[in-house]
Amino acid sequence: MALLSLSGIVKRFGAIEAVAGVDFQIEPGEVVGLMGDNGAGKSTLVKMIAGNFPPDAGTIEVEGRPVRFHKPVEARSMGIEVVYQDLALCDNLTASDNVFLGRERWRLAFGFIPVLNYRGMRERSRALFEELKSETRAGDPVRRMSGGQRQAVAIARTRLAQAKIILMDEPTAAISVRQVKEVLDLIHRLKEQNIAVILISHRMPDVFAVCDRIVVMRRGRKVADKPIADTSPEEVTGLITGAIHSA
Amino acid sequence: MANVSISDVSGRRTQTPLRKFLISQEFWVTVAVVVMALWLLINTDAFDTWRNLRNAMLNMAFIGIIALGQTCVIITAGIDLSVGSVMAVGAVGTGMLMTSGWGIEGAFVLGMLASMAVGLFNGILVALVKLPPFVVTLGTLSICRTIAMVATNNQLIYEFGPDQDALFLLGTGGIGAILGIDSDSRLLDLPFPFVMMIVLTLVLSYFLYLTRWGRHIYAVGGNEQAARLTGVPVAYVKISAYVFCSASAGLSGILMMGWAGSLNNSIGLNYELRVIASAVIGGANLMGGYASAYGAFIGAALLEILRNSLVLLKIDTNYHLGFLGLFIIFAVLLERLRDSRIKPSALMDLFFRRPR
Repeated sequence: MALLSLSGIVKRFGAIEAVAGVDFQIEPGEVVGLMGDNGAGKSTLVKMIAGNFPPDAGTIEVEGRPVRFHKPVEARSMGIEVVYQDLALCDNLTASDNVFLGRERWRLAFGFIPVLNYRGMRERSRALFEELKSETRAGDPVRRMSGGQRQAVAIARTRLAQAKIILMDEPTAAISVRQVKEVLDLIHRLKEQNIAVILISHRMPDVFAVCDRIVVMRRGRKVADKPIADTSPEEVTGLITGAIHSA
Repeated sequence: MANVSISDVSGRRTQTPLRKFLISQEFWVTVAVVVMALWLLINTDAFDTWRNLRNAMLNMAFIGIIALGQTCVIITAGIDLSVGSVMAVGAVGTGMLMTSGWGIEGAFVLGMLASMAVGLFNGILVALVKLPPFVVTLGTLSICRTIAMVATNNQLIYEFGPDQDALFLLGTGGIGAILGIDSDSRLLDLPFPFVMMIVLTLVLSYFLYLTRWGRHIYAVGGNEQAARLTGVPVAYVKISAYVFCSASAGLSGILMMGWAGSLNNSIGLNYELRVIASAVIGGANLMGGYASAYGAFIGAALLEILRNSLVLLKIDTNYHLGFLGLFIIFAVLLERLRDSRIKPSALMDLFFRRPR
């Protein structure tokens, strides 16, 4: 049974059919690259998985149970987390504060005053960063961090929530070569932990470096869905641009 | 990030709390306050008279209490220009009810509720209708002043019914007199509004640093979109900041009425400038995301010691606002200097780099 299974998903915005009947499955520990040109419907598809809005037709199943999300919180409660392109971090807070934002832990000081448990949160964050083999320091403000470290903070947050499926939107766009390697390493760590990752990216080398399978969308339809070993960057480029109709 | 240094990548920049404090705006303003106090102590006769100190504490308290509320709003990247008029709403509400025979408790509660209603109005328009805070509170600044003028019919009120003495005691009385302790101790003669400000500074520090609400308010100011995506109740956090700010203004207005012994509808006029100046001098960043309760406290202290020194040095009052303006600009310059991590080019950066 697939961890996440979409069948016949359709989404229309007025007269435009942004997603026109897409089927898709992902297994635990699988990394799937979702590719397509701008307007191909990949972000609409991902937004439905993340719970931003429900599809007009078709069903979404998580571990065999049909779900219908109206708000991101509902998707999150089923173990689906999103790492946003702009990373959604607060620059003025520390890495640890960001990891625990909205899920703060507290304790009683002197037995009766509720206070935030900073030490506990920092230790847990440190453990999460170690798990991800990232050099990120839990107590440092995010403002001073590199792109790779910021990704680690955003991913640590999803780990804290015990996510089963992580959606990553262009995690390697606009960061340096060294940081790209850091991020790809992070994705390998997630795979080792048996977490499913859907990677939306325009960067062909990154997708081929970490993904097990590649899904290409064009004009709201899935035009290819095959293991990375059975395809090539040239074929994928052709599929994205429409030079090759389907594979 | 366009340019990333080695230390940025390796992340070797962990700051200890002490080091953080030593490079903070709050620390340097504290140093300035101490230096100015010492200078006045040595060079004037009147500074260290209890009468002058007590007067300074009172002046500072009326500004400082509201600066605490304003700080919360500024952290959310907002601003509340209506505080001066909300002081009048609180004072007029409480004062007129007392004049009509109400006891101080009931009148105080209703005066505070009236002020908080203004905060709720500001907060809802900012957080839910998403109007710019500057414009919304500029509107309530005028509306509330009008309410105060119409309600009092432009009359001076100086008769506050059966609990009049209690009101005056709250405004000027020592903490000992209020608690019913008979003593000549200076500590117990600390004016109630000043003690109130210290208590509120401690209470707000607790809320800002040690509660979820505190983390959330900083998160909203740092990156509102991020806060929303991670499930922070952004609208609730913002509205609560505006309500708290108006409550602090109402409280200050009521205490100030007790101190003045009378109520006219110009109470709190132009106070928004001094309140915002206190917060900014204390290190509050108007872009949101950074400010502290202690900063509001020490900012108000600096403002008052500046005013006090101008009075003691017998400088014409016409110049006072000008000095205030210079200090505000100086405080912001200081913040920029700290940000650029003191290095030879820092001064050049001050003048030639675009603000972030």
